[in-house]
Amino acid sequence: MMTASNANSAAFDNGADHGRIWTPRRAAVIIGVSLVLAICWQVDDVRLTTLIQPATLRALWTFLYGLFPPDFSPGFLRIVFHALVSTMATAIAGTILSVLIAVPLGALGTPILWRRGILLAGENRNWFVALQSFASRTVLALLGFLRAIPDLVWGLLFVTAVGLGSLAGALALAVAYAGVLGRVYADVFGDVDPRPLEALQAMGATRAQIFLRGIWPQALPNVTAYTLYSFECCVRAASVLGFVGAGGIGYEISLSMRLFEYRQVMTLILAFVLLLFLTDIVSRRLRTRLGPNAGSLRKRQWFNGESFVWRTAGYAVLVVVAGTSFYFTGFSPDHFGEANILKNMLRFCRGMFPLDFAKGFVLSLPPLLMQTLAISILGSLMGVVIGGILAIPATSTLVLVHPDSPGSRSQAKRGLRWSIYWAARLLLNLLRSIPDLVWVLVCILVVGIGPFAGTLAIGLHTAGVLGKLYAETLEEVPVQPVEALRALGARPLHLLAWALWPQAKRTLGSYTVLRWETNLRVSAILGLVGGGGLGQAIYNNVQLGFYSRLATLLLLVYLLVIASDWIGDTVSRRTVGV
Amino acid sequence: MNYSLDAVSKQYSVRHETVAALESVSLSVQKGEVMAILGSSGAGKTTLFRLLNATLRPSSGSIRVDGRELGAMSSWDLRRIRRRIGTIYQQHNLVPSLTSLQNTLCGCLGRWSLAETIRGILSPAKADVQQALRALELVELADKRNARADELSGGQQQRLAIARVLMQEPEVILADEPVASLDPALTDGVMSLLLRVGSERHRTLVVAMHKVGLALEYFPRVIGLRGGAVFFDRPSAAVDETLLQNLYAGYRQETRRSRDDDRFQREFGCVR
Repeated sequence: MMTASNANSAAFDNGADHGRIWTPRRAAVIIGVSLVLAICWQVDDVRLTTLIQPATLRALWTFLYGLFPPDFSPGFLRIVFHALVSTMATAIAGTILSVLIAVPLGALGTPILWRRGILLAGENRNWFVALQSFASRTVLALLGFLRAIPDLVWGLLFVTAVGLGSLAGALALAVAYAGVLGRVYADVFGDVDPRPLEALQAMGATRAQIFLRGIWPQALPNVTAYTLYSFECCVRAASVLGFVGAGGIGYEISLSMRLFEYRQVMTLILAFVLLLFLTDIVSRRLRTRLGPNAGSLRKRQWFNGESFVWRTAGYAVLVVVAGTSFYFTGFSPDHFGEANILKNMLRFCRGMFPLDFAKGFVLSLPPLLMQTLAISILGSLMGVVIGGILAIPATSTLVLVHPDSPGSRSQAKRGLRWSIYWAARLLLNLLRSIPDLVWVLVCILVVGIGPFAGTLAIGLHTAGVLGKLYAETLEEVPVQPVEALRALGARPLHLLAWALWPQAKRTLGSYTVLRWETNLRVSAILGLVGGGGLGQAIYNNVQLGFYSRLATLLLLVYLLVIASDWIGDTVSRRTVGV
Repeated sequence: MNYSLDAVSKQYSVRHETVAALESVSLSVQKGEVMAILGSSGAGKTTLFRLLNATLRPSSGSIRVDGRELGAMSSWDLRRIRRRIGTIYQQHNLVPSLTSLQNTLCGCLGRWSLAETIRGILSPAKADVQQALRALELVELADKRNARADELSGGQQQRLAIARVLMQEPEVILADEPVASLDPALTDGVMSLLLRVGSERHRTLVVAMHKVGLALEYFPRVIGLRGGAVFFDRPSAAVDETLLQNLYAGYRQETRRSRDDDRFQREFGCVR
């Protein structure tokens, strides 16, 4: 892979040397790319004409017009409030459960405890040590599997197993984020200073004691920070899980959407954005207080020192919040004690085995896979184009001018530039803060169910994400060349082409590829709400009760995610390495 | 505890080539013996210590403790041996985010069960706390009992490491450069403290050091390591100037960090 790319760039250099634009290699690349895009276009069933048909425009207008004014009637606000509370409870219960699963699994997955390094240097090689190493590897593989299946798919599985509602949501979050956190914990545990561990081992401490007394105290600040970060992700995910019936605000959004109550949709989306905003603030404050950079002595004493009352109060609040969350989510004994929940779960799991490899079914998979790939590629491309165009007015270096610089004294001109900048930023934030699944629902309204809706949804959401990243990258390039060119009299577009782009293109490229990797995962699940691809097949087979087919599809999703992981790793390693 | 090392070698593999840290070292240490190990950086002192406290497997040769071969022991037996050997590391190896008292209590881990360890985190037994406080008093750190280890100065960390070993109540004390980071005033205090602790209960005391004068003054037996092999092993009275010159000849102390540690880092991929 590396050598191929080196050869590639060498050829490019040669081409530049000879001043030729058209080298055979470039021509081949362009033909290849166009071919891929043409195939994607076909597979995705892209119908640009539908976008400008009067019927489509009318549907879009009805939707946009219908959003206003948002529904603030007391009766509906009560529903919104209830949905918010249940979303929050699901997120909290899910986070707590995921931490409880992830800490022991993370400890088992820590290489320095079981597989290599200082603590194993004194161990005599025997079957027991080999077994420990094997078990540790197995745990890491299990965590990889939990992580690879998207949280929305876990949601669907648990809804099928334990029924509609927040309980399924909390369990799905617990499993999905246990995979994420377990891996992160294993990394954090592995990164602590090993010298104290060596000392504890030399005293005769067991692995469990070394973990408790050597690793945990050192890792705690990082563990707290990552856990809070994961909690933020859980809130986001808990809101979206409702789309597959796992309760919370997502359920209300999809319900209102299906009932064409767009005013309610608007209220719910506002509430959703508010929830994310508040979570972000709270978690950021907690992180600065408890995280690894909370070094200042006074702060630590406030939390860590003799202030017994504060500590007890803190723990009490924690316990009450956790208990309430579990109760709200449906972990009450009378609910969970129902025998058929566990029985359903068992029956569901048994139904998945053996996996379905019947010829007819397996042959139907490649088109689905193609469709998923095509959605991710075209969606990302659309995101790159729209995001790239919006990023230019959203880059302050290009648009805003320093108030002291000559030639831009006029207040009106400055105001115009300022409003262009903020309009672009606002639009990008809007595109970004609405989750891709909500975009799918919107696009379905406009172009109907199918891969095209999924493509548009990914494209719009990606435009927001990438546009913001692009603008920020462009703003962060070293400023001296920009100043030099500006002093030469360069206009904004010259600056972009000669000062910003050459310095930023590598970073921009790697962001784009990483985002495509994310989009590949997303495109595998968009079908759960009607966006085509593998998700559609997963949804259909769950509804029809074909659990062994479902298992095969899950395996496929797992392989897809592993592959996309590999691509992302290769790209980021190459950009960091060079 | 009696040690006997027979033709012990240790090689590290660094980027596919093997580098010898110790070559065919044979020596025996009797219970209650007090001895110093001299040698320049990279002579293999730290590797020898890791072998002696049973946290490193030799590449070849055998190490016997009280007649039992370490290489044939299970993890469980190795832990029981380690429990009886206290090590004071050159870099102290304290847990930075725990307080002095908690670090001292860590000395109990070898004899605590898992349940006692968990109890020790929440509220340790009174007797253990008393003992830990006595150990801290002995090293004059009682007033710092609630300070985190990473808030202490280098000398204080050194003394805290000694307190942790005192808490462990070992039969053997291995000290790797215990006075390297101390100023002369503290050096005497720490050395006499170590010797006093060593003479209690007839403990074995093995100290690696750079300072030749101190070694000859305090220790009846001195071993010189050179290039990973035993260069001399004799009573301190029989160590003369030419022997010492030869011991350090040809080896310059280019870096403050010993080459030994570099090898260990490359082999095990950890920062030291």
